[in-house]
Amino acid sequence: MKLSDAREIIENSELSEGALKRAREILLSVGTDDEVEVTDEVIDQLMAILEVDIDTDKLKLEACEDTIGLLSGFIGEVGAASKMAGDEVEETTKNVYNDASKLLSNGTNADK
Amino acid sequence: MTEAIVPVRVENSPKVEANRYRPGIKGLFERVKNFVGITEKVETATSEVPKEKVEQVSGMGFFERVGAAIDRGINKVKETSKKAWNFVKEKWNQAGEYFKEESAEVQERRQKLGIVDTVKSYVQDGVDAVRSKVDLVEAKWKDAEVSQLVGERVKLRDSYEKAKEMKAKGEEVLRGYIVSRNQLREALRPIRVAELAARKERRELRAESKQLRRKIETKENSKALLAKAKEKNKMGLSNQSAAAAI
Repeated sequence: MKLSDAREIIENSELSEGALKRAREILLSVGTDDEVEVTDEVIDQLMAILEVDIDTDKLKLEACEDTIGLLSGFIGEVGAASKMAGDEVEETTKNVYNDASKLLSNGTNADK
Repeated sequence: MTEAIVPVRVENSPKVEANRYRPGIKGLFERVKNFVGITEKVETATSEVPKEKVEQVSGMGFFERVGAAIDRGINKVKETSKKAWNFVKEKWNQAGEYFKEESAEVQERRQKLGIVDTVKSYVQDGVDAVRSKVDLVEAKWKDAEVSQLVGERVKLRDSYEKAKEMKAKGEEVLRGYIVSRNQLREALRPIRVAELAARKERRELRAESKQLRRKIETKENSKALLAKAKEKNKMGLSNQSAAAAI
């Protein structure tokens, strides 16, 4: 692999700032001739940098997903409790309505 | 006299049906609004019925019964929300320890590779960003708890008790005294704010997760390209060796 190719891969890897800086230093140590072949040792170093950056992102992703799960649980519980509360009010309203209907129909019958 | 309640169909009202499954406290507000409206109609329709008859049939009285149900509903929402948030905090604290250890391990690997992060620590910074989101919701939740304890709950109860007294004395209960939709809104507003904050932070975390997944994929691709190049180097070397042997 040519140095220019390795540089292109690294520049387009979305590495973190510190990791990108280190990868650039490693590539610079190879030289400035774009046509020069990059050794296995350099490739290994670049791969190790990518790997640790991937693990870093994975850890952040895990933290994000865990928190999303926890917040979803909270939102869900509030929602479920609200639904239960709404059901209770609805039930009571139905009873009130039925009682009122009963009262009015009794009243009407009595009037008759 | 029956005019006012005959058109009301609680079970089949499309408006009620539409609001039944609206999530969170917003849905509850909408539903209660309908039910308070229905109760008002019942109250109006029965206003000419002798008071004794009304009490005989409705026990506490129509408005009070719905008011009490709302009151119980508020308590349910508050108690459940409190339990749910305590669970979030407990789990987050447990996870916090895990992430602390994992972060230290990854950070050590970064340092060994000569990576110098400009922020205090690229790893810790990411985990801290997530923590700050939980802390933000926590702050809203604390506000909610304080309000529950000292504020709206007391106001709501006072108003309800006053309304009951007025009713008992046979006085006309002024609008606004009885447990109303607005009082409900006030009583539940802090929880609603915490719920909204949780929804906002969750949205942001989802966006962040999406971005992280994309970054991981890009880095995995780059790693695969480098591995392929290494494989080619190896094959090139073995071809050279074979050529030299011939």
